[in-house]
Amino acid sequence: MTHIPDHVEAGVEQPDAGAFGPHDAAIDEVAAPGHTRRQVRREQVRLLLRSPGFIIGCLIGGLWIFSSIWPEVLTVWGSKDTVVDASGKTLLRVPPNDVAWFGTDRLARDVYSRVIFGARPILITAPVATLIAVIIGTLLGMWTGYFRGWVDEVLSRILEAMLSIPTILLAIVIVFTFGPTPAVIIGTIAFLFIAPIARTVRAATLSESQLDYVTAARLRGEKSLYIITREIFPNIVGVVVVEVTVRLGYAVFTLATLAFLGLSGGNVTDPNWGVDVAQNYQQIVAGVWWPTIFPALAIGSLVIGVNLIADSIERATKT
Amino acid sequence: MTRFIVRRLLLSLVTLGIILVLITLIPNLAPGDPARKIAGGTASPERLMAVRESLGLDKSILEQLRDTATAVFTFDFGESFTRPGFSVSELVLSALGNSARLVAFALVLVLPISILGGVVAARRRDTWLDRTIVNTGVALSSLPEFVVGVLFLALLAVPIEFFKVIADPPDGASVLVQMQFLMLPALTVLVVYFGYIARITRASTIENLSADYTRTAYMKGLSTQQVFRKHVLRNALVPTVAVIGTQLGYMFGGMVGLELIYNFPGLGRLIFDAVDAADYPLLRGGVLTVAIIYMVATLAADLMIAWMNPRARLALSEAA
Amino acid sequence: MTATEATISDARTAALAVDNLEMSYVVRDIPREVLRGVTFEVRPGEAYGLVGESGCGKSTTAYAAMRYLPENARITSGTVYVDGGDVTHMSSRRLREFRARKASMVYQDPVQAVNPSLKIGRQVAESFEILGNSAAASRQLAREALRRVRIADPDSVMDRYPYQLSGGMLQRVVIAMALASDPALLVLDEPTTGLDATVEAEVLDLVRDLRDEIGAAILLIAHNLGVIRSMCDRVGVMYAGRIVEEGTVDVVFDSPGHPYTVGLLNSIPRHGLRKTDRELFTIPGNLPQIGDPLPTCVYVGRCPLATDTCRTEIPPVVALDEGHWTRCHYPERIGEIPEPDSVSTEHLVGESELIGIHGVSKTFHQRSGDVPALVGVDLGFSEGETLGLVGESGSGKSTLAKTMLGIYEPDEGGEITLRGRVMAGHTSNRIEESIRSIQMIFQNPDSALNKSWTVRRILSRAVTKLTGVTGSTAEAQAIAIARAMRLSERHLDMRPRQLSGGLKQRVAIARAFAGDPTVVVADEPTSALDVSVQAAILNLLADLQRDVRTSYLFISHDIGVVRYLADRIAVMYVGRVMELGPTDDLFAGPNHPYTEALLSAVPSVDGEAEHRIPLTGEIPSPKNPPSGCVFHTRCHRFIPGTCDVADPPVVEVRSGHTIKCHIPPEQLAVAQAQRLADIRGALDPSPAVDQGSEE
Repeated sequence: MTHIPDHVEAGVEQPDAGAFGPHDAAIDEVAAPGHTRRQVRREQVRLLLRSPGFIIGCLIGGLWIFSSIWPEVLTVWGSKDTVVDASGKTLLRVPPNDVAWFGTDRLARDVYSRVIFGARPILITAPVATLIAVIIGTLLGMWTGYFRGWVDEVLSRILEAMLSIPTILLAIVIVFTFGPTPAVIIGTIAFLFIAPIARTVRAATLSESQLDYVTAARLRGEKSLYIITREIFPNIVGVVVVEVTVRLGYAVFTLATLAFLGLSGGNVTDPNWGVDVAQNYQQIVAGVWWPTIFPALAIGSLVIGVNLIADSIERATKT
Repeated sequence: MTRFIVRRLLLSLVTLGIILVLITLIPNLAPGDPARKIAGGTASPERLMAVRESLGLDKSILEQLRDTATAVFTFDFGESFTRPGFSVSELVLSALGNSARLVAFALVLVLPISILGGVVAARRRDTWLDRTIVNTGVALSSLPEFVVGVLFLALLAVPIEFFKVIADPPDGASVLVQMQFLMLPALTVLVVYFGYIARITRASTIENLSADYTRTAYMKGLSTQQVFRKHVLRNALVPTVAVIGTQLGYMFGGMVGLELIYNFPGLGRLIFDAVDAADYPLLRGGVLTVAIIYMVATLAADLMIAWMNPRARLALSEAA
Repeated sequence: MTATEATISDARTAALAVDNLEMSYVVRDIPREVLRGVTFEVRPGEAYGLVGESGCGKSTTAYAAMRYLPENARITSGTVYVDGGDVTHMSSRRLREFRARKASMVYQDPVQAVNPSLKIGRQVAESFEILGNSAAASRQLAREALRRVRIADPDSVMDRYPYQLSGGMLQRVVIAMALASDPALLVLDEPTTGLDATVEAEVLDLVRDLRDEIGAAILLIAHNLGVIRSMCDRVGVMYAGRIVEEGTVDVVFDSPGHPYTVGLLNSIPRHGLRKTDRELFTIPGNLPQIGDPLPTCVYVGRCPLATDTCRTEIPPVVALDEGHWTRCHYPERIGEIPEPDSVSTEHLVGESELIGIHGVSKTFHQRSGDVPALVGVDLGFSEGETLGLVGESGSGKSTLAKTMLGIYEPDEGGEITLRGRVMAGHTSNRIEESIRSIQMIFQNPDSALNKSWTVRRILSRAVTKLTGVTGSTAEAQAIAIARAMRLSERHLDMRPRQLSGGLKQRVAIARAFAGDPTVVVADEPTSALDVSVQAAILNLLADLQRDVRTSYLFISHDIGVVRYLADRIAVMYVGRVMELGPTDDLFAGPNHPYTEALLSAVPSVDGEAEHRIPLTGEIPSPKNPPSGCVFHTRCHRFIPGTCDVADPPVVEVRSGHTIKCHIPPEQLAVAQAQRLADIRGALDPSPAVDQGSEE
């Protein structure tokens, strides 16, 4: 490695290198042998596994997944039990202590338990809703992206209309109209997320369709279904994966907000982070912050965790 | 250019039309009898009939559509059910005014900080500063606004006198006092939107910094500052403007959680209460107002983009 | 007079002096060498060309002269002097001064090189403002600068935005900006790649004319040898980050001294070479990557003269003539490089028409109006024949190809026949035999292959779909086809990403031939490839044609390549066929005025006198074709009253050679012969006068 003379470096004002050139030279990797797709994927995965965002995200996600499956393992009290101390006295609205690690709420329930048990509802509904939305949205997006035509036009108008009202408002209206049952809630979220997913998939499909290999396939007499599924789809999988993770974050977000607004699909007493925040936030001014803040932090951590994973996957697939 | 504006307006009207249809259909689609829900289980048949009439449910769908359309263009949605004596327009406009004040204040905070953050991150790309800005942004933007609101309540409002818990300034208060009351909600909006806007700005700035025309500018002998100011910024901010345009509608009607936490009488809260109480006229008026705001905001954003980027005028007029 | 390194005579007086410049790019923490010791100089007023293929480092050298280097570039040794100043070690403030006043650059893609959201006037004026002029003065100076680059109406151009101007126009604007400071050095990086032939010729003429006015030294980077020859005084041939040969253009191109130069020059069809004469020279192996270890002779891996000495010792700089040197151990053995094979088999072309295109028009219906991309095209070709299609942007050649293939349906009234049978318009309606018979090779090998599929799958699928054979039989056939294209077994399990451009194109060709097609449409199949790779592909196509008697519809903007491969040529302009005839006849003349102008615009590698016919105005868009003869707005033989009124007839020049013109062929023959005689007369030195004393 040749030594770079100091005075050469001195002339270069790092990091204001913009004056001196583009960010990085694009090395035209003509015939780069040894970079099989598997190796590229492996390197992407390795990069992913090393990125701090991904690791933290997975830890958080892992913690909450565990909580949703085996909450009993992590807790002492049940989510609806009345907390009593060693002498049998009911602990009402006490701050965090040895008996109740996150304190107790206005019904003397263990906030910690409610937080742990509260993971399940959101970790079931969010993935289910996301999955439904992704499947339908991807199919719709690929269809409109490839065939275009009047179906595309009409759908695009409808999609745009749907996106012009804040998702939350639409969700509120729909859930209220049809009743706040878990099925309705999941269905509403799924329905509302189809639009942005379809839009992204459509754009990706559209740009792939312009490439020559698609024309070559048509020239072979391939059927459209074949082209969409076997030729185009493998090339947009990355986009779909990123969408799944990003939408999952949004799903958690929206579900928590709906729960906060009273639309949780369950009983008022069931442990649910959003519901708990809604029921207890007015006590913050009175100094009783713990029944609100811990569930709020739980929501926050989960959303951040999912988004960190989504972000790191997106960045890894870009390289 | 005029053709472009006309086309955009027509498209907006189509969107409005679709929403109109949806809004009209809602009470018709609701399972059970919405009239009964409002009137109560023990209402008399006359009462039920009266409620149904005021909902428009006695008419055919087409007539209902026509009524809703008229209502939009005259901005008269009748009286609110839950607050009789007040017309929907009154209530909506009042809430709109409040939301407008909050949004204006929030933008004053959000825009400079987010854009600056994005630009700095772009120019100091891949340094710790860049990574911090991006990761902080991502993390904060993922939080639902009520979570942020609750945290602010606990951390700022309760211990610090300056921050008001209820974001409802007294009538006739000075601008500064109003700002004080709106400080927490505005900060919440900042936290929620910072990451998103900063990231878009960052990405666009990076793209423009490595563009060929930027290279030409450097080769002319311009300094980095000059290149940035004269050439890069006006192109780099285009996506940011677009995003702000689309997000404006959200800021007006989508911050329900925030408005509840801070007891802020804004548009989102109004709509939520309307839904809660099955106050359909109010609901109608509120949702359509939000839709109109979104359309106006995106149209304004598109116009601004066309002004900033002449080639976009070509693209927009052809795409529209 | 040998040495191991080239030297510079005097850095202080040279316009540009590059002294043993070594540079690397750091990619993923590994430095990869891109320049391995480049030394050359450009005297004031001189035009120096750097020529080479991808990855040779010519563009990097150009940018190094302006010291515009990416963040991950490291100059490991050497210096660059411009007008006496040391650019490599300048402070950033001085560098800005230097860029504003001493050196300027013109870029490859003019459309991207200007800011899309600022008016032209403002951008040009900026170049003058930097020099300290007031805003008002700068505007005035900008106006004059635009006039100087032959823009007729500067005021209206200054008021426009870049998207409203054509590529050629924008390149003039960029040149105007570059010349604002009256620089000592003007660097041009592939300034005309991507421009149409006639537009390219205009821009090059402009630079040539301005050269005398401005007195700047010119560094021209190009991969097109014709451009270099027609523009430069001296040339440096670069390979793998080294200059391997340097000299005056005439000497280097007519008597090359380095094996690589020999290979490069012989891989281009020169001097009117035809496929029936001989094959093109190909250089075995691949172009080296940036960072490949090449410690001794950079060309050793591919050189036909290589010996062990070449592998162990750095080749010396050997002076061959005055100012002409080469970097080689065996310059005396240059004559030993084998000639490419002559062609053994006779090239047979069938008698009857295989493909017929009768009265085909194609109009696209867009929101903004109808676009007649093709108008009344009549063509045909026989079995084993190559029909070359030549034309500039908007000529309709790609549309014609796609209509023939069935991607587009022709308008009512036109029909396409295969062996006399009319084919359905759209591929989805065609019978399998038709589909199998006509296949396509695309311009861009990256987009032509599905990046998620292996080569094996690409070829097997093509075989299955086109021939109906499945399973292991299909795979066996796929392997056979791959082998016929000189792809090896190990390529089969690779994905396109791992293959070079040339290899990818071979796969694409294999795929097209999988079903044993009768006709293959090749749409600029080698335009995206390097010259040495192009030669191999062209040889392959010619071989296949000889073996299997496939017909080709060969589209290219490169006249030399078309002349090599095509049996007959059709010249298109704005959707119409202007001239059609056998290759030799077409080049012998007489020609349609457009063909005449087009041929005169091509910069010649062979040093032939050109004297371009200047074409005024822009190429019209098919949306608004001129009345009467579509070429009349730019024709140098325009007859008012006739050409702008009536659509010209198709007239026979000779049997099989037709042109679409109002002027009778005999008249054209006379006029064109006269023109050529005038040119030769003007350039032919009378024996008694020494050329040198004329200067």
